[in-house]
Amino acid sequence: MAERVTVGQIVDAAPARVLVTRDQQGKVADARFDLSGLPRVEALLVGRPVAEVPALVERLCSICPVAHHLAGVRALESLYGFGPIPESADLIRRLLHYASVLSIHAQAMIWQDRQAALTLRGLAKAAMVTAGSPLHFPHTAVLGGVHALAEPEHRRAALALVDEATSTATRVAAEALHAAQAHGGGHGALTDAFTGANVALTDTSGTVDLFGTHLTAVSDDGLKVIDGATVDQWDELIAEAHPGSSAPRPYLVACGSDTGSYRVGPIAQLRAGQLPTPEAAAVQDAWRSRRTEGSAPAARAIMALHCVEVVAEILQDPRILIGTAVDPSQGLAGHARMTGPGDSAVLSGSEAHSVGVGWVDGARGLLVHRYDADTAGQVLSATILTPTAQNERWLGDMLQTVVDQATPAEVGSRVEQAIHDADPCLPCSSAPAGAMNVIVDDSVTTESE
Amino acid sequence: MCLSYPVRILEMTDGPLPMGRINYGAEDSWCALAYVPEATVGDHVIVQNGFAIQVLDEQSASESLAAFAELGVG
Repeated sequence: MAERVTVGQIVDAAPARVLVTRDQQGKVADARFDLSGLPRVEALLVGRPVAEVPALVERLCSICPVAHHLAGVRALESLYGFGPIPESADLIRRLLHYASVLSIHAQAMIWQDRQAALTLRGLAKAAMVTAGSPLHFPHTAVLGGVHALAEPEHRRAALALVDEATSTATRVAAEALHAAQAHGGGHGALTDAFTGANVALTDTSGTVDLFGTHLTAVSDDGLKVIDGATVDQWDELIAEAHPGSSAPRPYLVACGSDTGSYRVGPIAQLRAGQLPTPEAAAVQDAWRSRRTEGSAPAARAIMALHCVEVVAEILQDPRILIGTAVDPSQGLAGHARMTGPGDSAVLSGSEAHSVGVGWVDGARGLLVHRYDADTAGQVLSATILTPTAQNERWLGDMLQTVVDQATPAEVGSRVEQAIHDADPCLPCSSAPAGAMNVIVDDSVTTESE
Repeated sequence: MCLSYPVRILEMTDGPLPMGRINYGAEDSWCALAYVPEATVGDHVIVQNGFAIQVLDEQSASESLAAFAELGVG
C-alpha cells in the first residue's frame, strides 16, 4: 500500500537535506541529496486504465505537464503499436515541446534578468497556444497525431515575438558564457568532476534533438557508450539499481550499476552531440573551446537560445497550417480502441501483457514513461523515470566534493550551487541564491570498519 | 516524481517582493510571487519552497484538484 500523501507535504514540503556519511577517520565517505520526501506515484497507477495515465500524471506533477503529456502519449503509442505520426502533427508536438522547455528555462532567469525572462516566456506561451495548448495542461497530442493543426492568427501572433526573443536569447547566452569564463572555470569545476556519462536524445544522425527518437550516451572522455538507440531498446539501456525507490539510482546497463552512472539535462545535452541551429551551435562551440563546459547556467542559456531558434523555425514552416493532424488509418481508430472497453486485440504484444515506452528530453533532462498493461488495458506496472532521479548520483558526487573540500563558511553557498547546477525538480530549486535553506546533516551515520 | 498541489491566492501585498496569502488545510500561509508577476487575487498557483512558480487557469486547477481527489489527497 502506498504511503498516503497530505496536501501539507506537497505545498510546504520538508526542507532540503544533504545527508553526509563519514568514516571513522572523519573523512567524508558519502554525501547525497535526501530524496526520501519525493513520492513515487507509480503504485497508485496500478489497475487503472492505461489510457488515463498520462493525463493523471501531468495533473499531479503540474511543473512539467507538457513533458509528461508527450512522453505519456508516446508510451501509449508504443504500447498500442502505432507507427510514425504525420509530419505536420510531429511539427506541432515538437513546437509544443520546445516552447515548454523554453518556458522553464526562462523562469530560471527571472532573478538575473527579469525582462529577458518575461520576453522569452511570452514567445513560449504564444507558441504553446499555436500548438493547441492555451491552458496550463496541454491538450495537443492525441494518439496517432495531434488534436488540430495551427490556427493562422495564433501563428502570426507568435511570429511577431520571434525577433525580440531571438535577440534576447542571444544576448543572455553570450552573457552567461562570459560570466562562466570570468569565473576562470571555477564555476564549472564542480560539475566537470563528474566521471559518468552524458545522456540525451538525438535524431537519427546523432544531432541533439529534445524531441528525438534516439538516445545517445557519451562518456566523460567523449566516447559514445550508446550510439542512437531506439525507444524499443529501453529495457536493455537503463535499469534501476533500487527499483521503486525515491532514489532508484538508474545506470547504463552496458556499464553495470557501479560504473554506469550518468546525468541528464542541459550540460548532458550539450555534451551528447551538436546542436542543429546556427546561433546556439556557435555558442555551443565557444562553450566547449573556452573551457566553460561545466557551467550549468551557461548550458541552460544556450539551450534556451536553441529552443527559440527551433520554435522560430517551426512557426515559419507552412506545414503546421496545412496537412494531416491524425493519420485516419490509425489515429482515430486507435483512439476508439484505447477508450473502448477492454479489447484484447488492441495491444501490440501477443502475450498477456504489453510494454510501451515513451520519452522526451526536457528542460531538466530525459523523462521516460514506461507502461506495462494487460490485454484489457489495465496498468500492471508503470515507471516514471524523472530527470531528478537520474541526476541524483551526479548531485551526490558534487555534494561529496563540496562537503569534503569547502570550508565551513563556504559549505552552505557551495551546496546551494551544486543543487542549482543539478536542478532537481524539488521545491528548493525554486529558491534564489541564498534562500534555499538546505540542511547539511553531517551526523547521520558513521561507517564502521 | 514531484507532486504539485494548486492553492488559491486570497490576498496580495505590493512592494519589491510581492507576497500572496494562500490557504491549504487548516491554516493560511504566505508565498512569494516574484516568479509569477501575472498572478492576481483568486488565481490558483503552484507553490514550491515558499515561491509561487506557476499560475494555473481555472480549468487546469480544477483538473489538478480532481486528480488529487481521485487518489485520496486533499
